[in-house]
Amino acid sequence: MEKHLLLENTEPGSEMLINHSSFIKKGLEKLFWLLFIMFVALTSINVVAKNIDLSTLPSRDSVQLTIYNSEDLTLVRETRQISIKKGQNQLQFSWANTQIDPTSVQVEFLSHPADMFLSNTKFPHEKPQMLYWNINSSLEVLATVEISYFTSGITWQADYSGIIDQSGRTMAMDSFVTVTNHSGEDYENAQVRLVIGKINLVERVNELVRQAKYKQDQLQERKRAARLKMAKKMMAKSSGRYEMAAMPSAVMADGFVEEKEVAKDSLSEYYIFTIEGTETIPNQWAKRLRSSFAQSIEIDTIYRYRPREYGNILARILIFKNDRTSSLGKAPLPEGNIQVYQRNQQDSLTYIAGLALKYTSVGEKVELNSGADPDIYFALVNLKNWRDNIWMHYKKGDLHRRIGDGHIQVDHNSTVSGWNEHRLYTQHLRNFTKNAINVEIRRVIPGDAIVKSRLEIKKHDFQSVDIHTTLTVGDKQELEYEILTKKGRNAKQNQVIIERL
Amino acid sequence: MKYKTLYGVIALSLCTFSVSNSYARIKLITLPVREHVEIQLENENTTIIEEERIVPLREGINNIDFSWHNTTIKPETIVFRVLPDTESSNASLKTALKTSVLSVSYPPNESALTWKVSSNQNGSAKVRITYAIERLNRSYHYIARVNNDESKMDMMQYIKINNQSGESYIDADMNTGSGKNRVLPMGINETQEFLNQKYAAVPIDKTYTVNASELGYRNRAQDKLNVLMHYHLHNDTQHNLGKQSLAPGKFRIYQQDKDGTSIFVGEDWGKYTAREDETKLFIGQARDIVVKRTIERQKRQRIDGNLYNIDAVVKYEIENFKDKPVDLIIEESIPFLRDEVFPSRQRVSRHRASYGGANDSVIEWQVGNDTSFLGKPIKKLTSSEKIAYQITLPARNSHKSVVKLEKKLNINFKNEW
Repeated sequence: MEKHLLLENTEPGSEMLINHSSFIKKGLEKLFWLLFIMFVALTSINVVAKNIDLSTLPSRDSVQLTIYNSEDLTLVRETRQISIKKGQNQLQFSWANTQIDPTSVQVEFLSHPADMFLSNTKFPHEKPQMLYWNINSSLEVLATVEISYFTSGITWQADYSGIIDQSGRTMAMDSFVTVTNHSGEDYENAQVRLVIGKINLVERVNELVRQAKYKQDQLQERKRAARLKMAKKMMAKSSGRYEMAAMPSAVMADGFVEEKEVAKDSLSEYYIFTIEGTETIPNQWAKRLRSSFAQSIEIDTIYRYRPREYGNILARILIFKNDRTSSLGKAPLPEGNIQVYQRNQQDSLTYIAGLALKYTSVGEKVELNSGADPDIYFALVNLKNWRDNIWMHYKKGDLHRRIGDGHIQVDHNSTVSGWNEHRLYTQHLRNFTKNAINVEIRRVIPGDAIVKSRLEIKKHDFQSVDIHTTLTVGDKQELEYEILTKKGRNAKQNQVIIERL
Repeated sequence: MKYKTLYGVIALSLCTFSVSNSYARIKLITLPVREHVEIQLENENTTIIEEERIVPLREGINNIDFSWHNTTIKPETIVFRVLPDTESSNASLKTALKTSVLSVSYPPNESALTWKVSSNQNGSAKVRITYAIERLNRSYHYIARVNNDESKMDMMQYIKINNQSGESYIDADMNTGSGKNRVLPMGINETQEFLNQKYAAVPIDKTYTVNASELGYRNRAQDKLNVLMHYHLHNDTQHNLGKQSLAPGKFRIYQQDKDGTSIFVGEDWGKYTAREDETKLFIGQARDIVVKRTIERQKRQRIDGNLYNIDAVVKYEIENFKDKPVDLIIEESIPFLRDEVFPSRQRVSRHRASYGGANDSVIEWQVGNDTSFLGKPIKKLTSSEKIAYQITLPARNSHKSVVKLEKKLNINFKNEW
C-alpha cells in the first residue's frame, strides 16, 4: 500500500476572494490559513514518506519474509525488475518510517550476475533513510535484482488449543502461528517463513533503527522550521489539495479452498516453518494460521506434590510426547501458550487452564501443570517429632560426650553440640475421580538425612526423594514416613539415605 | 471565500491526517444471531461462554467477523468450532457441507478478528464460539436452618452471578458444574441469583471449643478463655453430603424457635470443603460455659549443660451453667505452651543456630502421667503441634448449682536447649 500527500500551489487566477470591506474578517481568514498551512506543514512530514520504495521502480515482483522468534528480527528478500542501461546507473532506495536496519540493505543481480556489478553505495548525509547504488553494466537489459534487508517490528508467536476428551485420556491439539506486523510497511503476497531457534546478534535491529531515526529526526526538525518559514510567506496566496489512495478490496476465490499447509524443515540448529503460498500482512495487522493439528494425543495424567515447582498443592500434570504415536513429532513445538479445555457430557467445553508450553524437541515430553484437582483429597500432616543421639561439648578438655552413654558429668557450661531430629509424617490421599491415579510426592530434605518407611521410596538426587503410589477409584491411603536429620556435629554429610522398614 | 468552506478545508485536512493513521474497512456483514448460549461456571477462576450460531456460507472463501468492543473477552481463549453438518440444518443440500478455517486476522486497534472460512458449497454452518470472559463472576452463599436440638441442618446453596462483562446474554444456559442447568437472561450489569443445591437433614455436630493460642482469652486477668460455639459440617456420605466439594461462601444460619418462627443465630464464612473434609462454622461465643486456664506446674530438669527436660501441667477449671450437657473441645497449642514454660528459648535458639541451622519448629514432647483427661486425644485435631481432648460437661443440677470440673494436661518437653 502506498500513500502520498502532495502539496501544490494553486493555479494563477484562482486567488482567494477576500472581502476588503471587512478588515476583521480578513484578519480571521488570514489566521485560519496560517493555522491550516502550519498544521499541514507540521504533519505532512509524518505522512509523506511512509513506504519503502526504489525511486525508479514502483512495485515488488515478489517478497519473502523470514521471521525469527528469538529476536525482533526479520529478513526481507524482495525481487524487482529494473531497466539497466550500459555504463553507469544510479538506483535510489529509501525506507522512511520503517524499522529497517540501514546496515543490512544489500542488492544482488539475479538475472545477469556476470554483466553488472555494484561499484559503490552512497548514504547521503541529508537523508538518513536512503541510499544510492551506483551500478556498472556491460549490457542494456531488463534485469532482476534482489534487495534484502533486516527489519524489526515483525514478530511471530506460536499458540495452542487443546481439547481433552471426556475420559481424560486423549487430547486434540491445534497448533497455531500468529504473525504480527508493526514494521511500518505493508507486505502484500509475501512468502512467509518462520524460524525457530536462538540466534546470536551483536546489535539489536531496533537499536540500529533508533540510531538512524535520531539522525532523521534532527533533519526533520530543521525541515519543519524551514516549512514554517515558507508557510508564512505563502499565507496570502495558497490553498491545499489532497489525494489519498484507498486500500485494495479483498478478492474472493471460487470453490472450496483447502487449508494452507505449513511445511516444516530443519536447517543447522534451527527449524523453519514455511507457510504454503503467499500471505498479505498489512502494517499493524496480525494473522493467525493453523500450523498443525493432532487429532488424538495420548496423555498421561500424574499427580505431583512438588512444593518448589508447583506450590503447596497436589498438581495435576498432563504429560504427552512430541512423537509419532501422539500424532505429532514432525517438528519441535515452539514456545507458546496453550489453552486447555475438556469436553463435557453436553459436548461443550469446560475450561481447564491457560498454560505456558515450553519449546519441545521432537521426541521430548511435554508437561503441563493444570493445577489442583478438586476431586482429590490431599493433606500432609506432621504427626510427631523427637530427638536422640544428643552430644554435649565440654569446654574443659574440649570433649564431646553422648547423653545416655553413662559418662555424664554435669557441667553447667557444657552445650549441646550434636543431635538427631526425627519427624514423622503422613500424607492423606483420597481419590474421588473416575479413574485410577498415579501420585508422585517429592520431598526435598536438606542436610545429612535418612528417610525411613515401609513405602517404596526412590532417590531423586542427593537431597530429594520421590514417593510413588497408585490409587484406584475411591481408594484412600495414608503414606507414613519418618525423616531423620542429623544436626550439629552429628551431621557429617549432605545427603539423603533411604531405609526401607 | 465563505467561512463554511474554510472550516471544511480544515476539517478535511484533519481527516486526511487521521485516515492516514488508521484503516478504513468497508464491510457488509450478515449478523447471525445466537442460537444457544451456555455460561460455564464450573472452573472456579474462569467463566467460559459457549455460543452457538448458524452462519450462512457461500461457496469459496468467507470472512466471518467477530468483534467484542467494550467487553471483557480474553481474546487468547477464543475457540471457533464448526460443528458437524447435520441433515436438519442443511436439508436442501445433496452432499455434506465441508468447511475449513484458513486463517484468523486481527485488525489494528480493534477488539475484533476475522476468520477466513472456506466452504465447498452454499449452505449454513452451525458454529460454536468458546471464550473466557472476565467480570462475569459468581459467588456462593448458603442459607441454613438448624432443627431445635441443633443436630441437623437443612442447607440451601445459592449462586449469585454478576455480569459486569459488558455483554448481555439472553436466555443463557447456566452450567454451574453442580446442580441442574437453568436458563436465565443475563443483562449487562445485572445480577441473577438462584438456588443451586438443596441438602436436607444434614447431621451436624455442635461443639464448644477453647484454645488459648488461637481463640484467646475472654478475661486474661481472670484466666478465662473464650468459649466459641461451632457447627461442624462433614462433607461425606455418612452426613448426607460428599457427592461433591462445597464451594466457599457465607453461611447464614437460622433456627426455629418454639413458636415456629425463625431466628437468626449467626453467620460465618465457610471455606472450600473438599469431599471427606469438614468445615467448622463459628456461630457465636458461649457465655454460659466458663473455662479457666492456668499453668499449674513448670519444672525444669537439667540433663547437662544447657540441655533440659521441662515438665508442664496446664489446669482447666470448667463450669457449665447450661441446663443441658454439652461437649467441650479443649485444644492446646504445643509451641504456645512451650514458649510459656521455657521463655529462655529465644536466647538459646541463637546459640543453636550456630550449630548448623537447627530448626526451632521441632518440639519433642509427650503426654505426661499427670494428665487427667480420660481416653485418647482427638485424632483429627492432634498433630505434632497441637493436642485436643473432648469432654462432656454435665448440666447444672435441679438446684441450679454447677459442678466445677478440673482437668489437667501434663506435657513433658524433652531435650530443649
